[in-house]
Amino acid sequence: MPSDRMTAVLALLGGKSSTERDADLLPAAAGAAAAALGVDAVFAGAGVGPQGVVLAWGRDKTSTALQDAQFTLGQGPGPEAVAAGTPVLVPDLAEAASRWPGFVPAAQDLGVHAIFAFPLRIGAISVGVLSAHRAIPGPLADSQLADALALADAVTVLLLYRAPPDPGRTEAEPSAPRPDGALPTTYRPEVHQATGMISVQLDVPLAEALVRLRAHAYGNDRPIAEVAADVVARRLRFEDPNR
Amino acid sequence: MTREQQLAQALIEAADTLVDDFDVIDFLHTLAERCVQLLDVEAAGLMLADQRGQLHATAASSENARLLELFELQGDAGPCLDAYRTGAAVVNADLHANQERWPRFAEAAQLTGFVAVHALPLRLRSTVIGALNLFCAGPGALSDEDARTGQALADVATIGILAQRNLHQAELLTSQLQQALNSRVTIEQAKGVLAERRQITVDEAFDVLRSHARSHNLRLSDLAKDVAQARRSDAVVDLLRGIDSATTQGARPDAA
Repeated sequence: MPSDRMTAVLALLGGKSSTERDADLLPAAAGAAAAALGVDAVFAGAGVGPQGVVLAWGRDKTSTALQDAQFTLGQGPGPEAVAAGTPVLVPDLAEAASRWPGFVPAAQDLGVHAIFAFPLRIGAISVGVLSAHRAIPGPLADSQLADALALADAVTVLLLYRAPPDPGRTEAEPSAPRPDGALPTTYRPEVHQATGMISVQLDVPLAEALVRLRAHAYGNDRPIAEVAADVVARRLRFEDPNR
Repeated sequence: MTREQQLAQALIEAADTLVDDFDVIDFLHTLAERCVQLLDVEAAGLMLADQRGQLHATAASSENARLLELFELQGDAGPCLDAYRTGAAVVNADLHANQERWPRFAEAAQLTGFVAVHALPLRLRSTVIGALNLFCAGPGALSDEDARTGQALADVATIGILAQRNLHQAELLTSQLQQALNSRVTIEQAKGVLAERRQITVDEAFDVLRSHARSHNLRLSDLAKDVAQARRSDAVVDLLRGIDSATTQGARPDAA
């Protein structure tokens, strides 16, 4: 279970009052998250792959520079976490000098000596990477690791709405209502199955299919699992009105 | 195969987890099937805990929606949750007698035709990472020998999940669990894509996906990811078109 401090951060991120997507990743929450994890700062990059990563959360100077260095060099814990699909935990960068010969000195120059990167994904959907860094080397405690994973889960949902649109497609409505606070790790299998089915029905990527499913549930004031079960049982189909 | 040979086979499969192209979900699915063959049970499944301590169905002896539902119902109360929380096996639990202990689960499991359940913890030293769930349709208790074999299979599952390397680090355990749970989500997404493309049920989609992966020598998770992300490899194209895997061994019939 997340710690009380992290639970407070998650509540801050998952506040239901806002419909503005940009208000979701509150800068203040980044500071509170860093404090809960015992690190100096956290940042999240949205997007993966050749189109690059946009710094979406945590815009302090060091984080921005770390993000830039990883993007420019094409190496570091962030890119590796995305490629491997698992957390990449580096309690002491000095021991990783041969792993990322370009990135490690760059990070050390910035005064960073420990960095932890978490891929932000829901199955085959990949939306970016969450990183935490510290000037003092040392591992995350088990409870901090659990907190970081819970945070990654929450940030994944928020970034889902910023996933770069498929070329030639219109992005989901910017003012789309925020759906319920359910996190992907609490989803039942039907939700993921329905996401796959909707992606075929609408001919859209999985990320957009999930956004549409969540929006439908929210718009009709129904639990997402219930809507998903209707899709899987073929009682409900998603159709694109513009086709 | 005799029971001993089957058990040996399960252990050999576990040892195979040390090779590079090991697929954890495929392995756990096979292990669940082995449980049904080896033990006096009708169905088996494995649940893994995420970092919040919530259990997720990760593999089952048959990808049957009703069976998966029985795993999900244990989110609040059920034998797997008990085994996970206490680290102790729940053996020969009569569903009728446990109506109050696990109200929703006991009722649904009986409606599906089961009369008794067992849940064996998946343990790595002092850490419990999930549970192996066994369902019985007929009366008759799981013998001590069966219970021991079951626990051996549960231990084999744990080895498979944690696979490889340095098991001392809690972070590695967390990474491996995260990986397994995320693979499972990818498979669900792929089942949905395939079900819609081929107009089959999601249950059928799993079997199609798995046999296609086997006949093409692909990791189940890799194929699922390609299907879910609509990546157009030959194997994915054949799969989505419904071309029988047996006919794809040589030249593809549609290639002419």
